[in-house]
Formats: sequence, C-alpha cells, structure tokens
Amino acid sequence: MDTGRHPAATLLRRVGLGAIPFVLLLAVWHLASRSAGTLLPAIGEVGEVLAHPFREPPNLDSLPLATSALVSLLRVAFGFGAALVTAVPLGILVGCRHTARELFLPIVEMSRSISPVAWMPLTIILLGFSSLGSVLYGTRAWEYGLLDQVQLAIVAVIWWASFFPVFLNTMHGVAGVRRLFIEVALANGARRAALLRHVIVPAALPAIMVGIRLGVGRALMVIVAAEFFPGTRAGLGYFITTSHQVAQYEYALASVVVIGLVGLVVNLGLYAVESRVSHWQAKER
Amino acid sequence: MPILVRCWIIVLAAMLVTACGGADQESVPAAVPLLTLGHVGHDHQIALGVAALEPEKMRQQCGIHLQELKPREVYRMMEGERPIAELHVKKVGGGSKMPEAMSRGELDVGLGGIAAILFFIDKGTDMKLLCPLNVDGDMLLVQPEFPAATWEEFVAAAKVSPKPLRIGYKEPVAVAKLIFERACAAEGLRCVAAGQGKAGEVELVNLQGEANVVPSLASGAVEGAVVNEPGGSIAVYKKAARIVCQLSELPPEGMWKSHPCCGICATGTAIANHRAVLQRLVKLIRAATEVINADKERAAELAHQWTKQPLEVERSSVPNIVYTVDAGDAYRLGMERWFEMMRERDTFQGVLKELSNADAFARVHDLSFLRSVE
Amino acid sequence: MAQPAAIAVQGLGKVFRRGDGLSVAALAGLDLVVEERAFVTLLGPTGCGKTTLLRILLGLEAPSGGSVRVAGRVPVEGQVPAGAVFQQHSLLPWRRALANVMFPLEMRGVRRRAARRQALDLLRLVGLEEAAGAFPHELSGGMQQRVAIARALAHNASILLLDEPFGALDDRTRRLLQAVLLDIWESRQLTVLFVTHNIEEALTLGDRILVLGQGRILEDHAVPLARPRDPLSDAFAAELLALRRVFAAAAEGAARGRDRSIEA
Repeated sequence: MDTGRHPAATLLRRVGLGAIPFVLLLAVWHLASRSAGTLLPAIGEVGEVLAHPFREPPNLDSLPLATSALVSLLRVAFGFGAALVTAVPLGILVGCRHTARELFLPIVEMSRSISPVAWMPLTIILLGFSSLGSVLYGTRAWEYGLLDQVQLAIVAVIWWASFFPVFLNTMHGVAGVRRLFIEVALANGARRAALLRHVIVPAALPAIMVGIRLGVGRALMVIVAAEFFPGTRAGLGYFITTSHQVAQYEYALASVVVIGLVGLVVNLGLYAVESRVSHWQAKER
Repeated sequence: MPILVRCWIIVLAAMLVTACGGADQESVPAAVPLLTLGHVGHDHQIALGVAALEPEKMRQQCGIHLQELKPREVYRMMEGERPIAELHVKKVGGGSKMPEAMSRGELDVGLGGIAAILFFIDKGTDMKLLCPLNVDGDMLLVQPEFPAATWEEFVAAAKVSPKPLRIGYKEPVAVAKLIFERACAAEGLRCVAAGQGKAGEVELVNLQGEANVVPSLASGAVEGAVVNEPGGSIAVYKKAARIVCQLSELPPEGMWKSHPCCGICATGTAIANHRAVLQRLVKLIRAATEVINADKERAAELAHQWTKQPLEVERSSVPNIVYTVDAGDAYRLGMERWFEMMRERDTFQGVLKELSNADAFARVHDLSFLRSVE
Repeated sequence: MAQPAAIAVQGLGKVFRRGDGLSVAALAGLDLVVEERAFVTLLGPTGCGKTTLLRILLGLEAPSGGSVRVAGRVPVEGQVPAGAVFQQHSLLPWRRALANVMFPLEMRGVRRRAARRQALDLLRLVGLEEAAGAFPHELSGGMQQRVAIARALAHNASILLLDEPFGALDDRTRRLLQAVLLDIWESRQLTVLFVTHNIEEALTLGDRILVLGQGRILEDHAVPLARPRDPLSDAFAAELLALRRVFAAAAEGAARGRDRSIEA
C-alpha cells in the first residue's frame, strides 16, 4: 500500500489519519458541552476523572476507576475463560461428529440469539450474590480483595455472551479441516488419538481465533449491562449505571472512555496473536 | 493454542494477584453470629450509615456500636466491649431487589421501601417489618422555567394548559405516583397514561427508573416528575428541576402526612434464631435516628460520606426526609392506607389479599423488638 | 520362506458405494509383488484405481477383498511401515519445513533434540537445509515436494510410496527431483512404488512399469535400459514408443471395461 515511503513517515501518516476522527469528536463534544443548560459534562470534567484513576470518586459510590476496570476485566476473564474451556471442546466434538451436531445444533440455533442480558433475572435467582470469593472463602470472602466482586451471575452472563462465537467458529473450523491433512498425518504415523492435537486443533486454530476475538468483543460489550447487578460495588458498567442514577455523568463518560481503551488494547493484542497463529491460512491456496 | 493459553493464564494470574490483596486481617471468633444486611444505598436508610460512621457517639447513646472491619461492608456489632454479631452490609439497589434477595435467603435483614416489602410478604416471603426508618420524602418537580411555585399554581397551570402536562414517575408502584394520582383526582385533574389518547389534564409517563428523571426533565420529554429523595435534590443540584411541593402536603388534606416510606425487615429465620442481635440492631438504629434528628446538618455530611452523593444534594435531601422509627398511630394509619391502595390495584394476590387492615398489619410486623427498646 | 517381497498384494478388490446407490469397483482382483530394493512405477490413466491402491497400502482405506502385505504386515492406519509422498500441498501448513519433517519422528516418540537433528540431516539430503525455518507457503512447489520426500524418509522405513509427487511441477524441476529421488533410492537402498500418469516419467524412473487399468494390472513391463538413463538416447525413445502403445491399448481397454464394472 504505502510502498516506497519512509517507514516513519508511513507510521506518522497512519497515526495522523486515525487521529482526525478523535479530534473532530472532541471538537463537537466541546461545543455541545458549552451550550446553555446542557447536562453533557465538559471534556475537562471527564479528563479530571480520568486523571485520577486510583482515587475513590468523591461523589460516586464506587471503588476507584482503575479498580473498577480491573474488576470488569476479572469478570470478563473468568466469564470468557469459562466460555473458552467449554466452547472449544464442545465445538471440536460437534465439528468432528455428525451425531453430536444433530444433537446440539437445534438448541444452539435457538439459544444463540437470546441476549445475554435476558438471562440476568434467572442468573440472579439461581446464583444469587455468590461470587468467586464466596465460593472459595465463604463468609470470609470480604478479606480477599476483589474476588468477592467476581459474582458468578455476572460471570455466567459473560460466559453466555462469548460462548457462541467461540463454539460456532470452532465447530466450523473443525468441520472444515481438510481431509488431506488428516490422511497425511495418518500416513506419517499419527494414531487417531494424536490427530486432535497435531492436526485438528492446529488446522482449526485460525477459525478458533476468530471466534475468540468475536467472543471477547461480545464479552466487553455485555459487561456494562451485566454489571447492573445487585450487590455490585465496582466495575466499569457499575460505574456507568450508578453515575446515571445519581446524574454524575462525567463518571459515566470517563468509564466509556476506559472501556474504549480497554477494547482497543485487547483487540490489538488479539490481532497480534491471530496474525501469529493464522498467518499460514491467508497465504494458503 | 499454546501461545494463547499461556497469555491468558499470565493475564489471569496477574489479575488474581492484584485482586487478592491483604487477607491477613484478624479473624472473628466463630461463635459470633453472622448476619447479612442489605440496603438500597440512598439516604432513606442513612440511620445505618450514621451508626457505622459514628461508633463513639453510638456507644454513648445506647451502649451499642459498630466496629469497622471493612468500610461500608463488614462491621462487628459490639455491646460495650463484647462482640455480639458480625454484620455483612450489601448495597443491593432499589425497587424489589432487596426483598427479592431476602426471599432467596441471601439477606437476613433488609432496609428498604415498604411497598416492595409488602409485595413480597404477600407473595409468601417469610419476613416481617421490625420498625420504620422514615416517612415522607416524596416531591413534585417541574422544569426550572415552569410557571408554578406551589401546588395551587401547578393545578391552575394544568387546567389552562392547551395540552396535558407530562409528569414522569420512576416505576408503576412508586409511592410518589400513587399519591400524585389521588391528589390530582381530589383537585379534579384527570390523569391519563401516555399514549392512551384519552382527554386529560395530566399525562403520566413511566420513566423506567430513577436514573432517567434528570435527563427526561432536561431534554423536555416531561414537564415535571414525581420522585422521592434524593432524586428531587439531585435534579435540583443538576439544575434540571425545581421543587414545587412535598407530596405529604397534597390533598385530600392530611391524608399523606407521615406516609410510611422505608423500614427494616428481617427474615423469619433471623427472627427465630437471632433475637438478641435484632433487638440490639433496632436499638442501634433507633439511637442513630435520634442522632440524625438532633443535627441534620451533620447528618447530611454523614449521608454524603455513606452514599457518596454530592454534599449539596444531601444538604437539600436530608432535611426533606422525616426520620423516625416510631410505629405509633400515624404510622399505623399510613400503613392501612397502603393496604387499601394496594388491594384496590389488585397488587395483593397472596396472603395479604383477604386480610383486614388490622390483621394485615399484625401479619407483616414484628414490633416486639421496637417495644423492648422503647 | 525366502526373503519376503516388500509389497505383496493378492486378489485385491475395492468396491465403493456411490451416492446414487450404485456400487463401483475401483480395484478388481489386483495382484502385485514388489521385491526388496526395486523401483517400480505404477502407470495408469486418471481414475484407474492407482490412488485407491496406494491408499489401501497406507491403511487409509480398507480393502473389500483379497490380501495386502507391506513389509510383511497388514497395513493399519497410523502404523504403516512405509514412507509416503502425496501430490502437491500435503505439507502441514502451520508447521515449518523442519517441523514437517519432524512429524513422523514425533509420532514415533523420538526425543525432540534427536528428532531435530535427524530432520535437519534429511533436509540436507534433499538439499533444503537452509529452508528449515520456512513455512510451506513460503516455498516453491518443488521445494515443498523435497520437504515431503524428506518427511517420508523420516519414517526410517525401507519402503517409499509416492503418489504422483511431481505431477504439478514444471519440466526442469521435475527432472531435478527425479534425480534427487533416484539418488536417495540408490544410496539408501530403498524399495520404491511410484505412481504416475506420465509415461516418460515412468520410464525414466522404474525398473518395472506396471500398467493399471480396469482395477488390475494389465501389463508388467520390465525396463531393459541401464542407468543412468538418457531421455535423449535412441534406446530411450524406442522404449518410450513401445510403452506408449501398451499404455494406449490398456487405456482403451479400461474405458471399455468401466461400463461393465458398474453394477446395480
């Protein structure tokens, strides 16, 4: 694309181009927040919140912004981790076995369009306020930092959000593994049991990676809604809903900015991993 | 796969290490009972906050105080130097969330709105009100430029307005909405629900939650709203509204004076097993309520510390709320009014449906703790 | 019994059931013996059952009838005592060249370091040592097939089965790889069964040329040429012409027989 240019110049150009929408957005925001009688907080107010990520917000019943981000990430990590360890094996099974596909596909097709948030009442009824902390340490959970903020009900909702992209992509990836690879492996001394590890998983990994990226994306989208949960004390979504309730909108916007940044970092990281594990696929004919 | 799994494990491990900090606090002797206590998190239940934030004053006042183990979460209830119980305090949120958690057995004690508590007792949840926390605290808000400063002016404005005035409420069973509707009827104003196409002077709009009151007023989606504190003070603080009047002053004359708002309830199991603890808790809350009423300026500061609402909001909100644990005649009358209204609207479908006012009052209360400390 | 044949096939039959319910006989009563250290080319038109035969020898397909022995054993998938080279794109694309060659060693449980050393030796043998770290898609078609040969050798078996390995290569590269293969055959004293549809290639490489058609061996043709063979020599040209005639007759017979082999 940018052939023949100095690499630094290319980088500068790309960063520069990418910055234009941000500048425009900030300009519009600034103008809008200056109009009379608006509730829209000024950029400076939001910046003030962002500038003190470790301070307990003086006018909001929440842990500090940085802690909240960590709590959200913990919930996402556990919910997504649970999705990973369930969706990948199940996706492999369903991708390999025709009977398993017939067994599971109807329920999967029915379930996957149900919004994760729709399960909130049910998860609260079933799991209540129990958290990773309360499971591990019972009533002493409060002594163990943030673990009592990783509520199982929220984790379950995140699990639901990320399960389907991972599961479906794994299934399609596995079902699409070329027969030739399997035969080549068998002809080269692989037993059936070794196929999974040495052929099926590596061959399906690019597809699984796509599922992982989509799954993490969905988890990050859902966390805001999932943190509207009784008994919660922190989290970026909690930050937003609480600040909404008490009309302290600068906190909500700061939280939005942090979610965006977290998403950016996570996505860049996942793209990097993806290009490492999937590079062979794009070039393969 | 290995790279990914490794990355994930590292990230998880790092976060866990950060998450589990300082598990070395001294542990409580196991003999002390543990009670989980839920609250809504706004200033109606500030008696709990005052008790938690002012241990010295409480000790002087009633001999009982809360020793802080983790701010706003874990307290040890002390009688003199003797630990009586460990209290785990949970902010559960408003509406039906608290009684719902009681029904799941996740809370032993709850501080919250009486209407929602009645609703769940009717549905069969085994719990009883131990005492009220506050009465009144509901208000009518209008946009700052709306031409009415009193209820009479509001009624007049509604009558001459070419189209119905839109008034928001936070949820269908909100106390403020029930009072407002009755008051309008008493003034001859017809209330219609939004979108029904019926003629009326007031159109009631469901704002689907307290959070939407301020933006709805600011954007002009509604001309006014009926809310409870601190919602009114927040809207004023945000310059989105002006307070027209307290709803307790509305007609019919005297009907809404001291209408019950929030109370403390406990599950049947807790009442059976922890009588001593509950009795001390009621004693503590009663003393804390006296402390609030003795100095509302100081109470507002404590409310700010406890709820983290801006101090300006609490300075305006706390004086508008009448804090009382008195379950006397005024309270009894107020409760009977709730029974009637909820029966009228078919809200009661269970155990309270067929009971007389007196029987229902007896069914939903266990005032023995309150009597024993009065 | 004297020294057993490297590959012995007797009365081999294979029937496939087609989607429309009809059965098709891909192989019908095929007999084949490949002696130790022989280089046998299997020549036949597309669809004559060459690939099916090879798949049965590799244990990837179960025969419908008859007996099959490779190095004296019934072939079972995953435990075939022979190396195999497939048509193009048979390298595992997510593994580097070296890792592809290490694959059979890993499957046999050879320790990582030893496997690495052996694989490097094999890559050197096919002249690709410097491409050890390259991914298959970074290699040309000819280089990929060299890696595939090295991988087949990593079995450490004395038998090598090749299924049209050079079919997709240009002429020059193909000649080059043929020479590499012959070198390895000689220096490692291998037994080779080489499947091709290219008559010239069959003649360049094989001691014997088996012409396959109608699901069995139609001709067993011993090649009277000495090695190294010069494709420009008159003797080669004469042999080629003779072979073309045999092949054409066989192909025609196969075309006629195909209709008969379809039964309800």
